[in-house]
Amino acid sequence: MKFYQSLSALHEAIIQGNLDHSSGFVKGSEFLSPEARLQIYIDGYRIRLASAIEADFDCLHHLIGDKEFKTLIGNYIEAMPPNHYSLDQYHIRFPHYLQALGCERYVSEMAMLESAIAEVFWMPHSTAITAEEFQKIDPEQLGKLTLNLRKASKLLEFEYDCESYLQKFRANKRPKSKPKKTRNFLLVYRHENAVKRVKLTCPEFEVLGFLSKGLSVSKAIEQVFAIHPEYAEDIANNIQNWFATWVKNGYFVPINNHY
Amino acid sequence: MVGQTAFFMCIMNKFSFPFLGFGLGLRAPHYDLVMKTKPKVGWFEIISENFIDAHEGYWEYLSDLRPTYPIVMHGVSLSIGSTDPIKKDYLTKVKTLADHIKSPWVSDHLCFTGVNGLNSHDLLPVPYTVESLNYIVDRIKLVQDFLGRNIILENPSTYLEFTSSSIPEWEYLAQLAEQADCGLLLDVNNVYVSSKNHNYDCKKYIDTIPADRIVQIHLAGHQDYETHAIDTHDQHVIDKVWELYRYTLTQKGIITTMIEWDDHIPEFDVLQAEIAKAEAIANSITMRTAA
Repeated sequence: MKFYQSLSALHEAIIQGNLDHSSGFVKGSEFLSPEARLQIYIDGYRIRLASAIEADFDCLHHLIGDKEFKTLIGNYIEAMPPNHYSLDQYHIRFPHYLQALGCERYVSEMAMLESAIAEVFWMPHSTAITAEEFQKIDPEQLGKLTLNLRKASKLLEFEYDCESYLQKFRANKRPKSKPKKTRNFLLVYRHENAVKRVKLTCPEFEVLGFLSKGLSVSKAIEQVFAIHPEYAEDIANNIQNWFATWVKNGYFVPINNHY
Repeated sequence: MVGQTAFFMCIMNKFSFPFLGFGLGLRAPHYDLVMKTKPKVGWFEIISENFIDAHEGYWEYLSDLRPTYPIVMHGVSLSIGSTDPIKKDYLTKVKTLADHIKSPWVSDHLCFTGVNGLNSHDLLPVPYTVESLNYIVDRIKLVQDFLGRNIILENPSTYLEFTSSSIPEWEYLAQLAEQADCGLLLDVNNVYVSSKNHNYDCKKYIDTIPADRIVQIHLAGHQDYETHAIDTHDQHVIDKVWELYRYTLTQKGIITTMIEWDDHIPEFDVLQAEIAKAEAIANSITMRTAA
């Protein structure tokens, strides 16, 4: 068997959990058959991936219970072998997998929230614009500017209040009922080397969403006015305060650091 | 504390990588303690993947630690044996961090972790053949050119052998190091674990590895299941591995050594006691040689 064939045969057997052709490329030992030796790698692969997922989704684990959680993880491992060098990235497709599987919406949303926290932790670094730098911007020019969110950030929309559920869980309150059904919005971002989560109002979420797509400040606001005329007053009354808070909290990169 | 006698009797590898003494794997449960108390440890080894993509707080942590300890990068994702293209983005990150912390050397494993775009996140064995040897030698040269330094490769713990293998692992490693001009990280526990799994003579393995290629030694605990052994890094180094370590130093000279403990990680003083044991063995050998 050629080199490439040997590597492929071993790797496929591990990922597929398939012992059928093991004697074709694996030697037996004094005590173990080729199948038993290959099984060590097959088991190790599944244990390793399951541990990685379990570490990132402890709240989801609590929410759906041990049996269902382990079944879903097992199915995910079989369906979605890792394709990145870092095991820390393996969680990223899990929420999409649950959604595609047709899991209850609050289940895939809880996975989305915990996955976002883990993903933002590992996202690339970017500095934040300071309040002093922001104040130096000519107010007349502000509308024309594009303000990019930090590289390590994700805007999320939920049908269920997974954030409140997660807060209770992390405060060791171990909630018993599922998250409440209520539309809500969240910014998950990393600032001062910590992952933070901030609840947003719908218009805040919409404005930040358009800014993150590269629209200028005035265009982003115009877009929200056009789509949600009901928020016009809210935006007009609060936009200055929002920007002050967003800048103070470190949501944006400096103007000259746009990526 | 590096024993004075051991320091003066250490062998010089052909790359002139420095003798760092006796170190530990730096793991998350001890990050705070190490920073706050600066315990007596010769050096620390980090898992490259725990830091190359981590946020700047982790890089600052290493920068703050660096004046006190040499910090060596040990990777698990190079996948030098894979037939997939070399991951330039990964290597760029490794190079950036290595320069940032002035890693005395950069190591990884003789293995492959994935193929055909997928990743097992395991250190999988390669078949030991002339074909694979030539192929991996070329890959090592490419990596060394990219990083601008000689790399160090570790002998893996393996649980199976390929029917296509035609070269004993120890000869394969020796030839690989010579042909690719790379260093070797001799994991004495891995030699022992693989010898249990493949029924070979550990001393013959050690004897064959060229001394001037060995830059570093790993020691760790493993699980013995009678029919086979698994490299688990979750307990003390066993006596037979300590004996093999003593044999290695006797044959090869005093070599930079570290203890790996990655699961069920104990209190820091337990790890320090393991280092002290390694250092005592090294000192006893140099005393005897000097006498």
